[in-house]
Amino acid sequence: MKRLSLLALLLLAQSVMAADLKPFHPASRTAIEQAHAGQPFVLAFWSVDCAYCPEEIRHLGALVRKRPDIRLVLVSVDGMEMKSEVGTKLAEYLPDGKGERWIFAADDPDRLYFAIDRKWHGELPRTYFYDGKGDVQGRSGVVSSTWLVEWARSIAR
Amino acid sequence: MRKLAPIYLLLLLLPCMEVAAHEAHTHNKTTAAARATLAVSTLFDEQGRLWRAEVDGGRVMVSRSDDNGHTFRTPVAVNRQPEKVGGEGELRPKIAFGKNGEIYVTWTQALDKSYAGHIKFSRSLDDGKSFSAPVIVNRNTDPITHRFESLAVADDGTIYVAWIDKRDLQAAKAAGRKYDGAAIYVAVSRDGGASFGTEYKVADGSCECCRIGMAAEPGGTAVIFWRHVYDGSIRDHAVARIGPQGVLQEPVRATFGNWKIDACPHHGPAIARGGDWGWHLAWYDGNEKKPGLYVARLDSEAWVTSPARRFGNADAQAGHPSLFAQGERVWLVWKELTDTHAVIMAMESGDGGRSWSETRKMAETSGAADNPFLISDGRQVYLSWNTKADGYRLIPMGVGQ
Repeated sequence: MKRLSLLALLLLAQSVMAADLKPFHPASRTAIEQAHAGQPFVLAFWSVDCAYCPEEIRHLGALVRKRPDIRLVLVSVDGMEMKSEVGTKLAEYLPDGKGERWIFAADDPDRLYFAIDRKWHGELPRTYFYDGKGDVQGRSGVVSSTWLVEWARSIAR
Repeated sequence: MRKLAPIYLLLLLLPCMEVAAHEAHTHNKTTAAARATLAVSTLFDEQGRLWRAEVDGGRVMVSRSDDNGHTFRTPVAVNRQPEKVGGEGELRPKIAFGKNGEIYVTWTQALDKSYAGHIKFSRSLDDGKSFSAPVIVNRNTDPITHRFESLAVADDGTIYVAWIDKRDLQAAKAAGRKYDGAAIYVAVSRDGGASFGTEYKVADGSCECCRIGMAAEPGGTAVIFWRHVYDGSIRDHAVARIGPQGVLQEPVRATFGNWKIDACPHHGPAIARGGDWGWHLAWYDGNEKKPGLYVARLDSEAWVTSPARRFGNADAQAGHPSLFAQGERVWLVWKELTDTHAVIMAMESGDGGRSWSETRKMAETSGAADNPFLISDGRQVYLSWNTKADGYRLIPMGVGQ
């Protein structure tokens, strides 16, 4: 019985997470930047179809657990119809619920890529590191833990 | 049929594109059908009729136009049972013709498990009125990656289907061995698609999520061009020649951008046969110094690539090239974005790709748009482009030869 209720709880948690995904529109990157202005944060794009993304998200989850002063914003580039899969994956990668969670909500993903960063060709993972003082670094591919540690160290607590 | 050879080449180009990684990975049948997609493949048959394969409601649909794409007949369902059909970006159904009017269709069926799929094949022997029950082409049918298929038919009727396959990665994992990337597998039919009697591996260590370029050549063989994972996660491209029984030319490295990245680029290459001397290649390279699209010639005797020429506006997300060659004339199209539109840019060569024209804008649309493809009815070369706002468009590139 205990097991059953645990399962029910997990299922509930997943559906809540799916429902919690915020729709990402062309103006959303700017909105996110404004909401986090003046504080360090990481803006990470991923998809359920990207074989390298789980590793990246887990790295980032570990980072913000260690450094609560750094915020994490995750954006799935899967469409809205993928909400439940996206919620399930995030529950798997970040069971503690870390990170603000968004999902692409436009019928033209190309337009979103363009609005986010003209130099981004859609490769995943794609992550932007904001130091909170105006510097932002965009990185494609899984970021090495060494680099991540260095970057976090460069940000005073 | 022989004069249509360039069309076969093109097939290969028709691949599965990009993707923003959004293959339809839905988890249950009710949602399987949901999303409308602009991803289509088109091809002229030898009578100059235009055929189109698209995805609708979990089905691959094939339709025909007798007026150069202005109107299409009522589409015919290839798979009667709806399933999750890869139909976005670098994933899309493919269509090709046999020697005797057979119509061949392939697609990637997405499974519930992440990254998993099967390569499906069906054919029509009655001019597209009906299609055979779809078969799974990949012999390993574990719920793992078998995706991003490409289809080419050689002049002798040999059918080649190539795809990205993770069976060797699974085996390596089980044995505790390291394995980078995925593998390229090929299945061959020599009986007009009644069966695929041969399956073999072309290479270990391919990139995981990019369309494969493949084009048939005279004599019943084909050349295959894909994004590979070289030592240290370098995502350059390899090329190989394949035949009915196996690999004829072992993989050779064909591009040297040294893009080092642990990522899914979702951006596969294009190939077109230039003549007896070799092949035209086009691809995307994300290296930090000079990211962008590149084109080069590949000598098919020496298996050496000419210096790569960069094209397109990398700051406008230039991507997803398509190539077409007729003799010494070569056409190249790709997609870019502006603040308001998706545009298709083009350039041409009159000397086999040694020099190229200035770029020009071929078409634009204000909404979502598919990637561009070049096809020919044997007389003219056309840009084939599906758009949300302006519908399907077939635009002449200029009279060939």
